[in-house]
Amino acid sequence: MIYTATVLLLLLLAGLLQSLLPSLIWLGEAKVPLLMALATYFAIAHGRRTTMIVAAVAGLFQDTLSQLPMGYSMVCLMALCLAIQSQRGTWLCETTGTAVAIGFAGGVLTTVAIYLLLMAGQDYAQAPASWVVAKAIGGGLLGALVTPAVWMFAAYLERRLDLRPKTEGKIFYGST
Amino acid sequence: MRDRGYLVLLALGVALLIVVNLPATVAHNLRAVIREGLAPYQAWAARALHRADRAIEAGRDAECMRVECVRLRHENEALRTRVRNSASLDRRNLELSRLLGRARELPDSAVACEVIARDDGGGWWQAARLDRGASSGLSGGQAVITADGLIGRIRDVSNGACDVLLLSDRSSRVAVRFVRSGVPGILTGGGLSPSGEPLLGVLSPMPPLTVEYTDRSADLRTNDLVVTSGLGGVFPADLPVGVVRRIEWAPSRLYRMINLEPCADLTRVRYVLVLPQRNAMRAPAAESLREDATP
Repeated sequence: MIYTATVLLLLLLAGLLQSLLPSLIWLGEAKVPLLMALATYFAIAHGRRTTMIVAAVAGLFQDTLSQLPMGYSMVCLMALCLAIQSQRGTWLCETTGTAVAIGFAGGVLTTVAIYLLLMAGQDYAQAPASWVVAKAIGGGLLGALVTPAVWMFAAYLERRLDLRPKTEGKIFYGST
Repeated sequence: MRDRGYLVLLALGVALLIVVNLPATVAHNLRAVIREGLAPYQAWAARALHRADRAIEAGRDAECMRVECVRLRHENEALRTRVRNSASLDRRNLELSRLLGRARELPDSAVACEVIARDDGGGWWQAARLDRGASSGLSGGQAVITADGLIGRIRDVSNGACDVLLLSDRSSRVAVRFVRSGVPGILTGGGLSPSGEPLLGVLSPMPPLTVEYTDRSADLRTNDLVVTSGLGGVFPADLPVGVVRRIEWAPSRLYRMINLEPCADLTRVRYVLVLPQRNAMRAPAAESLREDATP
């Protein structure tokens, strides 16, 4: 119960900050992808079930915060987390380098995927390619910047509250 | 355990399908619940950010004062400190006074609101969130203005908050008129915040505000004022929108594209007025005309 409440609180905090932090015009006005960073933390540090639930809730939350059609961010975050999960333990692990790489790749991929979904669904006025590229790179750079910090904060919180389920290991990001 | 994991994934897949195909009313209600829940925190954070902004501005003012101090060594230090401290309050007071002045010219049903968040949460639309909603009588499509001019229209409303689609959004279209020549046109947003930065043309070929398809022989000049024409039924007529900054030929050379600088500061606006729907506005205007005509 405490664990679920903590995760929900983290998601709320990430969503609130994401909606409030201003975007930079030179980065295609990309928002700081805090919800994505949090979802990827669970993908790298937790089991598949927890990961997918967190990714679904984070995506749903992102969709409701913006004017995006419901389910777009949800699909993208779930697919991203599923991909990370499938590679966890092979070449992805809880290190700062991985956090930066996942943050960048996740930011770029989710931006491009959401744009393609918007175009496919005819929900969006067509944007210039340069703007989409700037937004994708902006999303990637911001993702690379915030993902290590989000992972560290989430791991610190779990470590302090001893919240990580026993089945999901005891090695925490930032503790080694 | 493994079977249970697959069951959870299956359940999530079904949930995803349901969410993607959610009826519009349910999706709207869900958004409204989240918007309502976050609005107080966004208002609180926006105010904190404004305070920080004012502190930074005060810091900048202090730097200007320092330079001025070198130039005017004998100026009274205490007086300058008082001026510096009151500068941000004066600015705010001026903004509110101008807004009040504008409000007096408008029907009583215009609603004053505070901007509590900028940008759409995903960064895809040019939008802003206001701290008033349906409980204050607001509804979708209403025009949103500042003391300087039009900034956009309400797109989505919940009980205590609403989202505004700004003029600079790509999907925004406003019927406008050039005041000096009377030439009509359609104003389109470029999808970027108006920043006055010419290099941003790299990101978007279209400037933040553009009037397209204007007659090639029309008499248009820079610094011409552009106002809403009232056509289309969305916005009332004669709201200031922008000032002509550049006049270009379209690539086909069949018509001209007019770049505008917005009258209202779309990026830093804090207090706005939401106008009543047009049909609600016409009634008091007509009544006042009848009263004026009565001897």
